[in-house]
Amino acid sequence: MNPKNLLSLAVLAATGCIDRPSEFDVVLNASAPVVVGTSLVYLDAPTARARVVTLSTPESPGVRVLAVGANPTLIETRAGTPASAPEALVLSRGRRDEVGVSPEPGSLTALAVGDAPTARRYVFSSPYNAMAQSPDGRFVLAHYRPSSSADRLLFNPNEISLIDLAAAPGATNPSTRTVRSFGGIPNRVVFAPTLNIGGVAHQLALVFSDAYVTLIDLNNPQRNEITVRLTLPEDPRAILPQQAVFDLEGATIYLRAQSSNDIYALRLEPVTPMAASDNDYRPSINQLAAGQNPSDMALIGEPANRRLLVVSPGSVDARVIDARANTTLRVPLSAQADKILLFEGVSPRENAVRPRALLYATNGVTAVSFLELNDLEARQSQNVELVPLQRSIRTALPLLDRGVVLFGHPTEASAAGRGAVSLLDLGRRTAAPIFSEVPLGNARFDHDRTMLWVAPQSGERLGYIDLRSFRPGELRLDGVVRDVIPLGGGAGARSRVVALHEARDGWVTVLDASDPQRSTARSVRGFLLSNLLSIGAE
Amino acid sequence: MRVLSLVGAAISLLWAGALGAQPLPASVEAEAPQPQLRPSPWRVMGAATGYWRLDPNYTAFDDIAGGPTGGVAVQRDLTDSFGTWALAVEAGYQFGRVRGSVREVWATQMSQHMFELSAVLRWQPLRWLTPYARLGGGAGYFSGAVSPYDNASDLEFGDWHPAAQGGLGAMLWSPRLAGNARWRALQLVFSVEGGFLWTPSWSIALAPPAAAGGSETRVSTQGTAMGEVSATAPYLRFGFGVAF
Repeated sequence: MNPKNLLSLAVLAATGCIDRPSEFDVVLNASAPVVVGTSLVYLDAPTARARVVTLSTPESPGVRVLAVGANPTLIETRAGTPASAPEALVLSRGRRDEVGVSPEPGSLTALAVGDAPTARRYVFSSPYNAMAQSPDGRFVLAHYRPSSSADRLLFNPNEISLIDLAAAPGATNPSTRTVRSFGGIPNRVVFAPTLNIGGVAHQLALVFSDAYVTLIDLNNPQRNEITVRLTLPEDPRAILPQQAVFDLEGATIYLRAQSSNDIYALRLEPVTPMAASDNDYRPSINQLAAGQNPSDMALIGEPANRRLLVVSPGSVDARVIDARANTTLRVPLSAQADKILLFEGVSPRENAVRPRALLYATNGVTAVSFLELNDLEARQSQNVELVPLQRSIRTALPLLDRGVVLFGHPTEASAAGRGAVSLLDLGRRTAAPIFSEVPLGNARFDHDRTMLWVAPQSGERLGYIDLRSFRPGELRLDGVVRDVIPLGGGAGARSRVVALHEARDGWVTVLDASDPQRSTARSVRGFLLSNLLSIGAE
Repeated sequence: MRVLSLVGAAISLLWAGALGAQPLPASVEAEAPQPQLRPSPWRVMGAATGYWRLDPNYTAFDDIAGGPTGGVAVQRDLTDSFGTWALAVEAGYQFGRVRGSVREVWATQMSQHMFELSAVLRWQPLRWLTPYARLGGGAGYFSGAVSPYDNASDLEFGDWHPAAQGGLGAMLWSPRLAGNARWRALQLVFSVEGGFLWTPSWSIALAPPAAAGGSETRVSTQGTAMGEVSATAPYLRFGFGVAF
C-alpha cells in the first residue's frame, strides 16, 4: 500500500470520529417574545426550547435555555401569577413517530422563569393547536382551532383538555372530554369570572361553536357540559358567538353573535342535581332585539339595576337593554358607532364625576359620540353629544386615569396635515392632533402609564409621548426598531421598556421608561445564540 | 488531496535522492581530501497540518471539523548535530481559518494563530532518516465571527488560549547540496509527523464589533456566551525546508 492510500485511510478514520450535532443544522425560527415578569421568553420551535432573557438587571442580563414539549406551537404569559413567580405557558403538539424518531404526545409546559427555573409538563394525547386561560391563570383549556391542520391522520376536533395548573400533573389532570356537537367545532374559548349561582361560586368556561355555546364547570370537571343552542334546529344560519359579557350579581351571561341582530341572555338558575354528573345550575335563554348588526356591548348601572348598552352601526343607534324587565330603550345616534368605551368623568356642562360612555367607530366615521348614562330613559337622544374629529379612527388607546383617549388615524391624515394621532380629552371633549410619521399599531403604554411608546418598524428611532405633559420625543438607537415592549420593573424598581431590533440572533435595547436616554440605555445582543453549543450536549 | 499529491511527489524525490547518493570511494578521498563539512544545526521549514477536531462543537465553525493550517518553523540543534541523539528547539507559527454555518441563518468562521515552542529529540541511525519526538507548548489566538445571512451586523469573538502538543515523526534528509569549509552544508529536509494538540475548552463570548467612532457612538452593548469549544485534535503534519 502506498503512502497516499495510507494517508487517505487515516483521514477517513479520523473524520469519522465525531458527528456534527443535528441541532446545528435545524433552521432557526424563533417566535416573537412574550413578557414574563422582567424576562422575555422566545420560543425556539424547531429545537423545542424556550430561551429566557432576564432583564431585571440590564447591565448583566441572564439567558437560560429550557426544554419544552416537542413541536411547540403557542407561548403565552400565564395570567394571574405574582410578579415574584412569573410563568410562561407553552402548548406543544407533540411529534409523530418517524424512522429514528420516537413519538411524543402533546403537552402543556408551565415554565417558572424566576431565579430557579422549573418546568411542569401536563401531557395529553391530542395535538391541540389552541389554548385559553382563565383570568386567574389557574385553568387552561386546550382545544383545536378549526383553521389549522392537526397534522394527524385522524383527530376529533371537539376534544378538549382541561388543565388545572394549581394541581400537579396526574392521571386526572389534564381531564379530557369531547364536547357535545351539533355539527360545529369549537371556535373560541372564553372563561367567565366567578359567578354566584344560588349562593355557590362557579367558574365556567364557555366554548363558542357555530350556533351554540357549551358551558363547562371548571370546579367540577366530572359533571356534564351544558350546551345551549342559539338557533332552532331547523335554522341553517351560522350564528357565530363573538363576545360575552358577564353580570356577576345577576348570574347572567350576555352573548353577541355574528350574523345575528339579537343579544342572547343566559340566566343561570340554581337546581338540585340528581346525580354526580349533573350540574347544580341550569341556563335559561332570552333573545333580545338589539338593532342591526350589534357590534359591541357593555354593562351599565348599579348591580340592582344592571342593564346592557349595545351599539349597532347598522341601525345607527345605541340600545339599553334591561333583561330582567325585558325592555329595550333605543337611542338614535348622529354618527355610526361600533365600539363602546365606558368611563367615569366630568363633562363640559357638569363637574360631577359620573359614568359616561364614548361611542366611536373604526369603519371610516369621522366623529365620536358621548353618551350621558344618567337619566337616559327620560332624555334619550338629548344625552348624546357629537364631537367631530375630521379624521376616521383606526385604533384607540384609552388612558382613562388621565382622562384621555389616544386615537390613531390613517396615515393619509398626516399627509393631509391633520395629524395621524389625536388626543381626545374626555372631560373637555376636545381633540388635539399630534403629528406622527408612523402608525400607532405598535404603540404601547409603559407599566406606569406615563409614557406611550411607538416603534416605527422601519427606522432606528423610537418615538414616545410623555403623557404627563403630552410632549412627544424620540430616541435614536443603534438598529431598526421592530417593536417596543413595556417591562414590569418589579416592586420598587424603575419601569423599563424594551426595544426589539431586527436581528436573527436576538437584539434588544432596554430603556428607563421614565427617563429614556442613550447614556443609560443597555443593549443585549446575540441571546438567541446563547448556549447554542450546549444544546447538542443536553 | 492536492496537498497529499505534492507531498507524495516530494517523498519520491527525496527517497530517490537519498538512495542515489552513494558514499564516496575511499580511494578518491585519499587522492583528493575534501575539507571536513561543518554540521547543519539550523532548519527553516514550512508545514501543512491537518487537524481532526474531537469536539463536536467545533463543527459549528468548521463543517468538516478538519480544516488544514499552514505555518513556518525554525529549528536549532542544541547538541552535536552528527550524534546518534540530537536535541533541538523549535519555534513555530501556524495559521488557519475554517468556515461553517449554524442553523441555516448564520455563517461562521474561526481563525487560529498558534505560536509554539517545542523540544525535538532526534534519533539518527542513518544520515538520511532521523525519527524524532516532539513535546511543546504555546498559545493560540482563536478569533472568529458569526454573520447573519440577513446582512445584519456580525458578532465577533477572539481570545488567547494555551495549547500543548506532542508528536512522533521522521525527517528525511537529502544529500548535501552545497558546503565547504566556509559554508555550512545545505540539505533539503522533509518531515512527516503525527501527534496530538490539546487546548482547554473555552467559552465563545460573542459581542458586536467595536464601534467605528468609539464606544460613545453606540449604546452600551452586552454580548452573549455561545457555549464552549475546544480545538483539541490529533494532527498530521508535513514539513519541507532546508537545513544549513
